[in-house]
Amino acid sequence: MWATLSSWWAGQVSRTGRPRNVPLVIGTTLVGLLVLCAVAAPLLAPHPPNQLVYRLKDGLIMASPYPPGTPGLWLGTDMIYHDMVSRLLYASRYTLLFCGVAAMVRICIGAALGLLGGWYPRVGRIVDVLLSVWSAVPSLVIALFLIIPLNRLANLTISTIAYVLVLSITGWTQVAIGSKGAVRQLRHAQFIEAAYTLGLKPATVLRRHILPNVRDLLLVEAAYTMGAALLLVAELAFLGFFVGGTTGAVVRGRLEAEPVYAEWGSMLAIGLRERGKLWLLLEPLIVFTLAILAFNLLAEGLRRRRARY
Amino acid sequence: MRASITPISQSRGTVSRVIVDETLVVVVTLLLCLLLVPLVVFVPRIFFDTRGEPLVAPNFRIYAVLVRGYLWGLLHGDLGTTRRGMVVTRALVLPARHSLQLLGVSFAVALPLGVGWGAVLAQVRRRFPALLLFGLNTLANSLPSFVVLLLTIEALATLTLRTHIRLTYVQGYGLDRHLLVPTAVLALQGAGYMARALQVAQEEISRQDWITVARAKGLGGLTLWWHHILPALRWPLIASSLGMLRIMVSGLVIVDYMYNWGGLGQLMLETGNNGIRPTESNVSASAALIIVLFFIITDVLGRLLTEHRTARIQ
Repeated sequence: MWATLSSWWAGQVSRTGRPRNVPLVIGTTLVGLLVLCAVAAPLLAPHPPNQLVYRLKDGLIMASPYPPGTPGLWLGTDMIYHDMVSRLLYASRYTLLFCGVAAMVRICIGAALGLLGGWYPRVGRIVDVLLSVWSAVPSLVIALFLIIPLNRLANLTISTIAYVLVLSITGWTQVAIGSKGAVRQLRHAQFIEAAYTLGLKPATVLRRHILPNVRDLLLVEAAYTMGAALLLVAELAFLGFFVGGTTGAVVRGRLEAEPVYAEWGSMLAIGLRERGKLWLLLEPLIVFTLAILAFNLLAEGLRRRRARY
Repeated sequence: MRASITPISQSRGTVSRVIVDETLVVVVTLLLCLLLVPLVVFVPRIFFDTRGEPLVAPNFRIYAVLVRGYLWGLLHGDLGTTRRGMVVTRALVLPARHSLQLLGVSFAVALPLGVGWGAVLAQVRRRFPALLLFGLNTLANSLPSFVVLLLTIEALATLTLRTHIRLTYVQGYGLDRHLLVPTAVLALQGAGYMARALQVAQEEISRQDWITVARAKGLGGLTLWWHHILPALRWPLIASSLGMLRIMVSGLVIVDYMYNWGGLGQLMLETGNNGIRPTESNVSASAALIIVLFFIITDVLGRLLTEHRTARIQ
């Protein structure tokens, strides 16, 4: 008993006796924490995201931004007196939501094309061409040139939907390539031949027998795709493009850019503009990196689990 | 070993069919990319006039005229002149050279680094070193290239400011110390990818029947790796080199822009950002097309190698 426990703690085996999957454990924990932050943001955040938080000195409002460690403001504030902790927590909602939707759409497009291309040889050639074309153009190029006009659209709902759509139509090629390869491998498996012998039609075999076997792969791809979507959002933010754009806010007689959404991308873009205040840049940067790392670890863990079976 | 030798006639048929198929795919891909790139790059012109002011209503007519004009110009080898009066095709030569130089140096650094890292990653069995190597690799694969570059630049600038010691430059083009930072960033990203790809390939090879047989016969350790795993790693190594090149070109766009390297990435993003003027959009589209062509070539090579591998070992 003691030997089993100590070896489990040492990381050699899990409770079930199989080698322990460290990336899966860390990835799941980090992703779980991120989701918890997003869901419970109103409970965890000390202030609402758009509330202005002042500190007084001799009866006068101290000039913003407040550095990290200011009493009651662990991570400081931005230029317009927003508490960074609250802002980061609320921002996880929008960022994960937008990237999550984009990742799901990418998976749907990629899986549909991959399954059809892998299963029907004639469709496969068309899918091959489509994949070659779409993967030849870098995601950043497609996203950037489509987002430039969207960023200046007056209608917030349309620009938000369009932003998520642009994120969705890039980066599905990896999913399609993976699922197409998996279907091609499965096409000559014994259980598929058995299904044909039973008189099932190709479409039915695809739905009943191939799809369930590709599900694990799609789960791995979903985690990778989420990381890729986050990376693209960060890159676009670095170039100054983020969902919703900004509005002008006058703070102590100065016109400051106020992002429409409390979102990590907009925080990063604002942080890049304020180069003297390093924490405004580092905090969203660290959060982005942690989120990408979490999803990549989860994907690697899921891949290892899949490879084991 | 489960490899079967394919009959010569069948093998010839397979090879010629693969070549015909690939040629068709490449031609169609090229044509579609030639169409897709201007279609994407000229999108801002639907909503803005030449001064960058938003239009009252989207103007699809101008967009169609510009895309058609660009394609016509491309066919005739005349893409007009830039804002500074330079012929677009000439304006692309120097940035393309700069990008190739950076890419070449980064590739030369990343290749041995990636191979070594991959071999160590797959071979180390002790828990803590393995975990450390894996963590470093995941971090290298997860960190966006601009984050690494930004932090490096900040650190170097602070060091220079405080100590007056200039280890290297933090921006600009030059085939001297200027190369250090962008090469390190791109090589880290590429080597991280390659190490992971080689590790995965090595794990897959280790599960093959012939490895099990070799183990059953008493082989193990370095002998097994040298005689059985390493030869089988030849194709994954070439494939992952091409994948690494792709990753590095993707990173090059941002690194180039941020470091003021003066390459294609900077040209494309700068003209794209304020590229409401048609000639500037021509520059962006042409820079994007060069990058796309590069991707197509690496993709085709990758596919041909994969087909060749599957045709030889079944």
